[in-house]
Amino acid sequence: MASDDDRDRDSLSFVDFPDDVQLSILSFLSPSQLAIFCCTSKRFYSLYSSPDSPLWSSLCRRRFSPITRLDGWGRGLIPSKLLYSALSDLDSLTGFWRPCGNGDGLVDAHVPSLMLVEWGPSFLLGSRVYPSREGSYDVVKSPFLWMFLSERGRRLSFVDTKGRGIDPEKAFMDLVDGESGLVAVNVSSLGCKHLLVEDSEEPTRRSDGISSSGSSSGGSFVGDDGEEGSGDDVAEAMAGSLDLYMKEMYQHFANRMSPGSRGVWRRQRRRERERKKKRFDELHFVRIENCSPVVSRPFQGLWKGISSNLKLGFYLVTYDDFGRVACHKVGEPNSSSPGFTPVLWIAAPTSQELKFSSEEAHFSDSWTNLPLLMSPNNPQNHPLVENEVVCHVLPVNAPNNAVLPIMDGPSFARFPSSDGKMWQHMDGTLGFGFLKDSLIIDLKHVTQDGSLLDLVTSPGD
Amino acid sequence: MSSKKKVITLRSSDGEIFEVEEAVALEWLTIKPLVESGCTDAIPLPQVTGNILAKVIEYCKKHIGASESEDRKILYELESWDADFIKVDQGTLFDLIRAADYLTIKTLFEFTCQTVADTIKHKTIEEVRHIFRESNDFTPEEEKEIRGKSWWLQGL
Repeated sequence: MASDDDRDRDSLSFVDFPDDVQLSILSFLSPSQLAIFCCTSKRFYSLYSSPDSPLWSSLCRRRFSPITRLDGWGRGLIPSKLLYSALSDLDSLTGFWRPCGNGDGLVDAHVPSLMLVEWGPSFLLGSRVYPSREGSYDVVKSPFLWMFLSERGRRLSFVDTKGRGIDPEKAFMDLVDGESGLVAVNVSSLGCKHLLVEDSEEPTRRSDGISSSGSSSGGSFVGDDGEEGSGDDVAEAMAGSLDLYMKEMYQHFANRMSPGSRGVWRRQRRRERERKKKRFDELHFVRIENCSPVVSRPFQGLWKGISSNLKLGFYLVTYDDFGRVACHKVGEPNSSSPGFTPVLWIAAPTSQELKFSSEEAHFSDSWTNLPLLMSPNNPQNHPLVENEVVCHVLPVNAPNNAVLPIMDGPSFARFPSSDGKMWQHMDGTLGFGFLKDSLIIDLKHVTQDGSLLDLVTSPGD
Repeated sequence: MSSKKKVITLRSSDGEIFEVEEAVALEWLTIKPLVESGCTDAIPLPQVTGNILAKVIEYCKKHIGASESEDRKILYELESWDADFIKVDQGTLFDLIRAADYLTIKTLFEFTCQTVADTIKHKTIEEVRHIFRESNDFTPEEEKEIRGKSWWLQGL
């Protein structure tokens, strides 16, 4: 060990590295680790505290340049420390969300849909993902929510209420001109699991574009207006409320000029609010976590399958702490929050069940052919499982266990307690079926390696 | 000159001679122009010692072609090979960073930087100072003020 120490003494220390090498090393730290590191010396502390130091641009580049175009945000004018924190907040919104609450009128109320939030070149983009047509696994992605940053790092969000599929850069300018179907919205998150998109109440024009003023999202919602931020943000928010204050003061004096008109003004305000309400109903979303299978949870993830009415539905398979597996339908229209009913569940699959005994192998042979037997109303183009090798079969139960198997035969007698079966194919996809309605549903992945599968450009393609 | 694999000769700061395939040397952006110009003499690398150059060559040989592989098994094996490769003392690690920076080998540079960053994860301020042999240039008052500003730093 002594020789190691000697060697260390002769060799470089961290501060002997050139600046760019030091920054490159620090760019791999998380913000909290960085905070600790930067308290070790005056030089690093001043790099850390400065809003536009090369340290923060280095962190921005390391984390965000692979996923977005950094100079596109706020026209490249946002100080890098602020940019880093704003982009980190936006990053926490990426992924799949399911709508909850009433339909919002933006899409056909009979179509199940999910929201996918992903990075664009200079904005965060929210798109609806919904089935293309009956009897097909194809899905359509239709962008409807854009989140930009202003030059001061404030979030500017817009919803496209007309679904015209506008060029986002252009759409933003359209809105500034005030002639488009875009509505300025606040996007607020409660914890990281709930998302609220609501009409921003007081869109005011300012030099850096359009943003909302005054905090409209009360309670513990933290969003566009309620973010902890730098002094700039605070000043900006204050300027916003000052605008509002001035406007109210002006209106107060205006009303003094015409006695008795206060009631008229109130009615006006109410009408204005109602008009805005019609413009855009608020949207609620709940995060869909664990969208992909992992080694220890092979069934986990977001799936899609075609049900008896030929309609494509989205399914979420989750594991609880006891290893039990539940499958829920998600994104259904009119699904109420937060509960959504399971389609099926599997009692903790033991390793014994996951292994495939010869007896089960035989059973699975007959089971793989079952779709033909069980599903007389199977659509022609429904990909059947006949070519797939089944590697796991598990007994499953419908949530209502009262349904009894109706099919006779030695194969089924062995599993008297279950209502149906779920199986996994060698390629990792799933299928399940219940005896009560003789229906097989094959589940396919919604995404693979981060991109949507079976994506088509428009419904009915 | 009809050999399939052209070999490039390198000379370390301590005079050791190494031979690498041209494909490996082309990944080192600093010497790439020399290699492309068809230089046949030994290329001197005055900032890299023989033992470090040997490590760098070992890493690049292993990684050439493999990093871009789509095969998860190959990538997984490469990852565990990397983990063994980088089990070195801090002096060697810093020398590797300096060599990768000097030779402009992006993959090795980022990998070694990440490794250094990993060593200071979950460490206190004092521990980080000790690891990097940095001296504390704050006065006690300043340090108290800084720690007071950030609640998460208290007690560290």
